[in-house]
Amino acid sequence: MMSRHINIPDNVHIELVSDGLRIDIPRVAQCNDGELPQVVSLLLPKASKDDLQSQKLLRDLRCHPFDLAALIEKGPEALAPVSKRLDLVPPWRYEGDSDGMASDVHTGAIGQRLTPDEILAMDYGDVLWKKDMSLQLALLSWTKESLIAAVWEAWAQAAPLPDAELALREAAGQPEEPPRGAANEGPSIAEWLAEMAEQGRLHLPGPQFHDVEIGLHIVGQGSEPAADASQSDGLAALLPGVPGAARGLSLVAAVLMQRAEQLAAPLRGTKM
Amino acid sequence: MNQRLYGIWLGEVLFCFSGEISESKVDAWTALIRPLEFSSGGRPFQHAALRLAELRYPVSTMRRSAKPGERRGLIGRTLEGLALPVQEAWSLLLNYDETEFISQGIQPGAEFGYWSIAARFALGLMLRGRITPGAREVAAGPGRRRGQSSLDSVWKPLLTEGGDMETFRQLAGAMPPICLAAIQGGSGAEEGSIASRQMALLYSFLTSMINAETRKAVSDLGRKLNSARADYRRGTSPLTELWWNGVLTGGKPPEIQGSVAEMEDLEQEISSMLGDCPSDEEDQKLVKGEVPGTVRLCLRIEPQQESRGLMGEDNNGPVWQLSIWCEGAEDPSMLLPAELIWSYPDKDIIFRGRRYKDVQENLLLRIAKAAAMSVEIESALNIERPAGKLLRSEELYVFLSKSVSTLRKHGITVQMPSSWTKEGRRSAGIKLKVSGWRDSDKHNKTENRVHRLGVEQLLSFEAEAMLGDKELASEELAELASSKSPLVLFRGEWIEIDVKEIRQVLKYMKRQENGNMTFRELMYLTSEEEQDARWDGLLVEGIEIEGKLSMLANSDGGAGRYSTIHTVPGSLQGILRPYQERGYQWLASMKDLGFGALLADDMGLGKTVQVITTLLDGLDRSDHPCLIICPTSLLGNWQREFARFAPEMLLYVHHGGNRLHGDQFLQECRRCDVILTTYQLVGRDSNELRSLEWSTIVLDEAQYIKNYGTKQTQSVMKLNAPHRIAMTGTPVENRLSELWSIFQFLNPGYLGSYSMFRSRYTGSGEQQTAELSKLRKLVSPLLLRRLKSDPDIRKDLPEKIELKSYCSMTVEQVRMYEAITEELMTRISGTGGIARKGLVLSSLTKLKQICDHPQLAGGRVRMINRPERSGKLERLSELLDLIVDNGEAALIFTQYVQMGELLKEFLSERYGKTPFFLHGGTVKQERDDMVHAFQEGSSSPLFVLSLKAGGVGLNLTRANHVIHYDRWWNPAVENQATDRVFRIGQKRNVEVHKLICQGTLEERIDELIERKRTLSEQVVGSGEQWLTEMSNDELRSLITLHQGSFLEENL
Repeated sequence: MMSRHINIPDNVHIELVSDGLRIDIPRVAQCNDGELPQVVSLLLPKASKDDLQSQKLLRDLRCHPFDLAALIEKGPEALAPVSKRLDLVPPWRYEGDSDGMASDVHTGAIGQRLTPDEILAMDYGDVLWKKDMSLQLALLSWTKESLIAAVWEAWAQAAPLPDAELALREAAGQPEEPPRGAANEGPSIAEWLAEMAEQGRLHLPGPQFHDVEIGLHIVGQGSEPAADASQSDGLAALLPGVPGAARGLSLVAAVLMQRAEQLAAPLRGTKM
Repeated sequence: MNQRLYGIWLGEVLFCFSGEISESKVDAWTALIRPLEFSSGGRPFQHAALRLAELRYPVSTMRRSAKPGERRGLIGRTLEGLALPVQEAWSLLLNYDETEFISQGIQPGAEFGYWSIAARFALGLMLRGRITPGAREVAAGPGRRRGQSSLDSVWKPLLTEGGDMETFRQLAGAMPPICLAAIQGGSGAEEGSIASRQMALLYSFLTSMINAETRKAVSDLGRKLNSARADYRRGTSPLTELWWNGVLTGGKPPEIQGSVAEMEDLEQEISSMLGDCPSDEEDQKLVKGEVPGTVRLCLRIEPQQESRGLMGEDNNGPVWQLSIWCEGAEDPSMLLPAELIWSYPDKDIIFRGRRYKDVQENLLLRIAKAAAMSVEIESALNIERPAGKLLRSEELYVFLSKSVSTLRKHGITVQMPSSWTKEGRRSAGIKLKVSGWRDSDKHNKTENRVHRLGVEQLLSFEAEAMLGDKELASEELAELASSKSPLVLFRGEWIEIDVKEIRQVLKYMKRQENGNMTFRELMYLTSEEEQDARWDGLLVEGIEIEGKLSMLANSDGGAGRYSTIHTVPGSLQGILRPYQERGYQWLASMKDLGFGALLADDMGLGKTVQVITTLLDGLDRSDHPCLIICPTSLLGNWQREFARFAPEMLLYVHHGGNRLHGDQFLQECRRCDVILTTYQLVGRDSNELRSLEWSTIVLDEAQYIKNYGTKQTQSVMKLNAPHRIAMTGTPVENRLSELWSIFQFLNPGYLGSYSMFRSRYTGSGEQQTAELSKLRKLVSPLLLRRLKSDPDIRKDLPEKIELKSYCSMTVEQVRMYEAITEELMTRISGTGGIARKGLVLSSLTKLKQICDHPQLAGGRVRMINRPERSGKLERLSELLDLIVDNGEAALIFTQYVQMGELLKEFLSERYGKTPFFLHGGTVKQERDDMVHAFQEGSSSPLFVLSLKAGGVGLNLTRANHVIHYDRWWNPAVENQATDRVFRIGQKRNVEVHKLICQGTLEERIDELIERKRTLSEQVVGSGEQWLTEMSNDELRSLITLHQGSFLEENL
């Protein structure tokens, strides 16, 4: 794939549409009356899920669960290294694909040879392909969710269960027994605590504890916090006779932020 | 050894505790915690208040598996700890560093890390000004009027930003279970599902931290906020303005008070406008009957040959399989191999009513996070459907030594072969071999020195290191302790060990292979379940008790556990039944050991004679008299029993208005062997009795001291004696407060403080049953209770036991009795013939009626339900209490219909069920119905009968007690009545109780009958006519009231 450095001018409109990437390039056409502004619209088609590149990505994720986990946790942007590693190319750059590009109906047909606008559109498309992993996925006919689901499906098909529910019960080795207590109230707290104590987990936080990230980032000092619209409205409704209420809340929040910053400063960098 | 420190949020304070219930251990813990100082400055615990909290907390943190099918819940127990106020908790948690605690000998629970992150979350919100004013309900205090409620103005977290809400939900969902252990109202912690409780508690915590810090900001702003405040006028302004001014108050705002409905409306209005604790949306999305579940990663290590679906062999030594599993965080029984998760066709798994959403995604994320901590996991992620990895020994070693602890710290379960099953877990601990009393204590005994607290005597023991049920040689222990990995090859088997635990054992063994413990400590250890017993923080894998001590410690409440054979004193006037001799041996052994003993034999087995024999046994070795305390109604019984069995013992009855005081009393005490007094007088003459040293104190009907707080009980507790005996016929082991109080007298401190005792043993449920079983083990060496139904006892008992109960009379009875006697003796001299006979008979009848109850002889006040009017009725009550408590039944015979009616009314009120009363006026059908119902067991266990109507032709074998409330002069008539229960069909021993008013004609006539028993029928004939033929002097001697008949002390 080409690696020319290209800037996309501001007046170029690029939009993802159902068939691919539509690129509108402004042109100045010469006519009898002089110069006439004109827009050339081009469509860079997207690949189908069955296309080589789309399947290449799916195959890779099937075999690299770590990348799949990154996709789940961080979203499509986490796939940038994968794309690079696989050297994924945009659908319009497929070799030997004569139908790789279609012109917009308004601009007429294009032939075997590419026009300068087509070349330019493809270059613009390349830039976005590299830059935006969500777009890249979309041009391969994937969304984050559909790609993940496809991996699960592939994994399940690799060793299908004849009777999933039976397999579940057999593997767990326990009879199906609903949790104790009333509906939607879970087990009795006393029994649950006893079970956790028995498992040696009475004091242990749950697994998602380690997913929690607390940021004590520096916030601009001396500034008042951005007003929360619903909070301001709520306060006004509650206290129609107190016009200074919102201002008071804002003042308190500002001083509190300063106090919090004094507390937070020494904690930054300490282990949590 | 590190002390433990746990912390849970109680809505207003961070309650810090050790989990210990022993007062001395809590004291030691508090002494260590208070001075803790941290680099962030200050000693947060220094001024923290000691408080109690009721928590669902296991006695021991040891893992103890429930038996199959067993449903166990943690019961609430009262634990003592330190309450950290918000400000101290805030500072401590923000700057929390586990290593600082450990360096000061404290091992904090993992929940401290959790609260620390929660505190930082609160700080993060404050940094961005994400706060909102709100209202919070104030918990009802003692002064609150009914129908009233209060609100507080508070500053709360504003969680409207997506990221904040997600963090809040994550944190709430990850809350350690212990945080929900408090049983208390308020803060929403006791309501709803676990998820909603977690959210409510976290929200309460965040609110308190934010509120405290924001109040300071408000205070800093001071007057600058004036323009923002409302011009609130009471009665005209809306309550919201009062609330708002509270929000803008720097210190603690005044509570807003109003009706419950008014306050609910206000709170609702504020929270709907400004936000409140998020609801548990996940719960609401679920199908009815489902609860949400989360998954945790579980890693399992197993030798290759034991693993599932293994790959090929390896020639370079043993190969291990590291397999990946998905485990339910809330329900560990959901443990599924990763292969199954990847093959499962749906995104959600529903198992045992829990919905685990996006299970594949969640498992993969957990694996990926683990991979960041472990290269072994990372490499397992390079294949499709990651399910595990084969590790060579050296890789395994690296994994175990470097990765496992980090993985576990991050909530990942790592299972070793020995930990797959609960039974397979091996714990390191010690076995104690207790051989006997410590040498110096033995020495004390030979010198016959006074042992004030026998249960505190020291015992010697040897300790042995154990791993599971295997004894460890010292080399093995050292080798295991030096292991850098929790997985070790031990005697040819790969097992998981807790190296830290092993090192603690090693440290202990180096320090103290031989040690001492008190008898009390030994008993507590032996009463614990095997998995819960701990000594010096170490698990006790076994206790071996040698020699005589084992008979005592391993006793199960039966007799025959005594260390020295004591011969029955020759001065005892009588022969003990075999079980009584065993009881005496036991009492004497308890005395030798310095233990207070509780003799709780069934009524009628002769507790008194066993105690008298014990007192006789020590008579020649004692410098001090013994003190017997009993209810007033039993004074006469004791006097008679001493006169009968130990006439050589000098007895002084400290009772009545003329009782001795001061020097006279002291002299009498020096002169006599036994001082007999009542519970009432111990309270009244407390100082006098307390100033003396007694050789033995005996409490008869010891349940009289069941109320520990009363002056009477306190007076008893303060008496001085090295040897103590308590007697009761009630099933005392089932009455906890009574048991505690009696043991506090017998062996002070043995059962701990009352609050601790109560929190441990009262309650309900299966776990409570286990606790009570431990309590029984604890008290069994010091308690002897035999039942008449015990086969061993029954064979020693006659089929019919006759017991005489001597009663005193009340002042009212005495006055009436004396008036009648005086009148009779005055009038009799002037009469003769039939008139004399008539006068004698009517006077004797009146006297007998007075003995029964003053009401019968025309007493003015009708208050039958007050047994204190009649000493005999009071004695009957005591007797019947025992009978009813033991689930037995009794017939009560009286000669007087009026007395029968009174009894029926009285018993109905006292026991809640009206007994039948069969008398001459009862028609046949009714009489048959009564007998049928009584025999069937559908009626009251008490049956009142008139002697004449009920004396013949009835079969009432349900009863095994016959009580003759008043005496018939002809024993044959009494015997006929007794035979209603003592006849074919009676399977139990029958007890015949004869109630006799002491010092009255009842007693005189009884003596007469006893003296001439063989001739009785000839002497007394079949009626009372012979009495009328007595001379005036004989009559005077018969009826004159003798000393000792008074019930009240101040007569």
